[in-house]
Amino acid sequence: MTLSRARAFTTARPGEDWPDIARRSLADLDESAALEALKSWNLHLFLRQPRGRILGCDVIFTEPPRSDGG
Amino acid sequence: MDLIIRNGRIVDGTGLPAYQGDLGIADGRIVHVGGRIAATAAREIDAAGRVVAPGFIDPHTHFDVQLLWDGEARPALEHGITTVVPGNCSLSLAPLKAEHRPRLVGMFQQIEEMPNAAFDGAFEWTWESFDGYLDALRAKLSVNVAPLAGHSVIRLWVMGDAATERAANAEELAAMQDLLRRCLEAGAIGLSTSFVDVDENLQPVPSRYAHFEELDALAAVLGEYGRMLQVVPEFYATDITLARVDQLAELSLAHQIPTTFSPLFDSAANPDNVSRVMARVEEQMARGARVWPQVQTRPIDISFTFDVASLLFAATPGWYRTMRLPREEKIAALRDPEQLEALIAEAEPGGDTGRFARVKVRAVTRAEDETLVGRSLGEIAAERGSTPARVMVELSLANDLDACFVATDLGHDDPARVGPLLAHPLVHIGASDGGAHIQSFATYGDTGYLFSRFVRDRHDLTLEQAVKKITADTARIWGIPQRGLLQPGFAADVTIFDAEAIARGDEVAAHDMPEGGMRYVRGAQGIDTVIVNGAVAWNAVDGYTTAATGQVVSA
Amino acid sequence: MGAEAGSEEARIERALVAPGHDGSAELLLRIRHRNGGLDSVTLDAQAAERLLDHCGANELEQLVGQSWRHLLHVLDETGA
Repeated sequence: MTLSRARAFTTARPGEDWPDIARRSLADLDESAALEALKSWNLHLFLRQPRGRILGCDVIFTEPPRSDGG
Repeated sequence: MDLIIRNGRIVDGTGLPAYQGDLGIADGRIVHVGGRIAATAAREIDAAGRVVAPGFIDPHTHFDVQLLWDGEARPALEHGITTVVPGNCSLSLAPLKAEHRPRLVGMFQQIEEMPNAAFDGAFEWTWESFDGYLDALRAKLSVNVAPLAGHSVIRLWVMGDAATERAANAEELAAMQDLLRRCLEAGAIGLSTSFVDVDENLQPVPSRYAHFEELDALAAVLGEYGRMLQVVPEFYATDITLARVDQLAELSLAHQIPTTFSPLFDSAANPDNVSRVMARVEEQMARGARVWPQVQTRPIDISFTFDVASLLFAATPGWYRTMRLPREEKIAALRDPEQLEALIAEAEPGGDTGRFARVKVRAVTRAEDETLVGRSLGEIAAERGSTPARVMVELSLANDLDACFVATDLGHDDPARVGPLLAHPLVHIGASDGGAHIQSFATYGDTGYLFSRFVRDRHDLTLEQAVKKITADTARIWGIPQRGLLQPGFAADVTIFDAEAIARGDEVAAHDMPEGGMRYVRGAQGIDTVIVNGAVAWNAVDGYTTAATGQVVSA
Repeated sequence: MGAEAGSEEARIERALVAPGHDGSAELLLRIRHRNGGLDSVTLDAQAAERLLDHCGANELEQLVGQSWRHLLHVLDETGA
């Protein structure tokens, strides 16, 4: 049974930081643009101390919210 | 037979229509349900006009500590709860090395708001292992306990300080798997983890440092036993919750385990949250995954004082500006007649006093105001010939800004939305948080509220459906064998109640924690008798008994 | 000021008070991204105050239309 399309996300691999995630998730963008995009899509991780720290369990979105609300 | 309940309206937990009948119990088990019992028993209960139902099961509690001095999990038992699931949200009291106790106490204090005295002298730490903790519990249980093992403590046991620093290595993963296996062998009903909880320093609990591979490895162990994985998702953000539903579904399918997440709640501020999450749950359940959202019955109340600028005042900008002033300026502004009149005019325009009329006084520091606790500002204002907003300001100033108020029913409060949600076949009624947040609000009486609000008042569920939701469904979802139904051979956990009267009582402050520590509680209404494993554990006439027949129950 | 159609920046579209699980009031911000997708984030009372300060806003309504970038300052000591 096929699932409907949901907002894409990933989780960090051990040792990964934001540039690593940007490179593997948004390879088409240059790094600074990719990092800006990731930041705006993952405010939940930038609104806590320390800002932007990635924990192993965190959901990291690799696209903006879906425009169809799905 | 040891006990016969006669002439009751039997609601057996299956969801089938109630019927008139007797119920017989021997050796802690149900031996007869249905027709008239000719024999007599040492003890008989006339249940004419009363519902006879399976004991209720509360799947989300934090009674871990309280159970060590209060095997009844008061006041849960008197609400008809015969089985509680502690150890939620990644935190359990075992397995735990002695050296890690202070860290766990901090985490528990953050979640449960349990006073220090509860850990200092109310019980003796006699265990490190999970079975050692269960042995400590068993001595005086009146309620049944189906305990979860907490991911955070498992991580702490294996990794020590590194549990809140990094990913686990292969050796540590294997050690965690082995430790979880031992917990499950000892009787753990499953594993709990959390993606949101923090310790007393507001730092993430250890489980949040775990990568998905670690959770997958632990879920594989759960799969060996078919046991439950409970998680706390980022319930305040819909997209993240949807991602968690997908992760749980992946784990459920890969390891053939049940999973549950809690809480899921509705609010006007985020009106499409529930519909989107439930749509995803339906999709995943249709694939064969078991991902059970837990939904609480009670609305959410919000407490506030004038000492901190609560966002509750944001709808009245003048008030919010005043609340954001430095303390002394705030007091001066509230004492200034001109500024006060402007605030009153904003809150009660044209004499409409509705905004704060239903707000209740929750706590005060001044002895002479104690009689006002629990009363609404509207009532007090009427007595004083004043208005609710004025009374609130006066009380705050008189109590050095420490008077605490509670605005009730501010979230998860639209019965026309919550009722159908509770009735949804894929919704698991739970998330009571019993025994947690004890100094913030009462986490007891949700089952009474289910019957009074959603069965009796609104008819969102029939009596039989509501009973099934909190008995047989819960037992089935969690894999608790031979409980949740009134059926021969099943454990004799029985709640007898008046369907026309069952409800939750008012929230009141109680000082029944160790060394007089305070918590908020609610008493039960309409419950007659609560039977645990065949013995009366509580009844409305005598209160709690000394039966102590509770057991550790496992899958 | 509402979120501008076709704006390059994600912007706050609504600012609402929401009940928190722990019995406190929280600020729920709905953020409209430039693809039209709607996101939400939640701030506690202190973070909400810092956001208001940083945006020079006195009322929640004045947060509407503000760039998501302001949110990055809610962890600052003063918010300013």
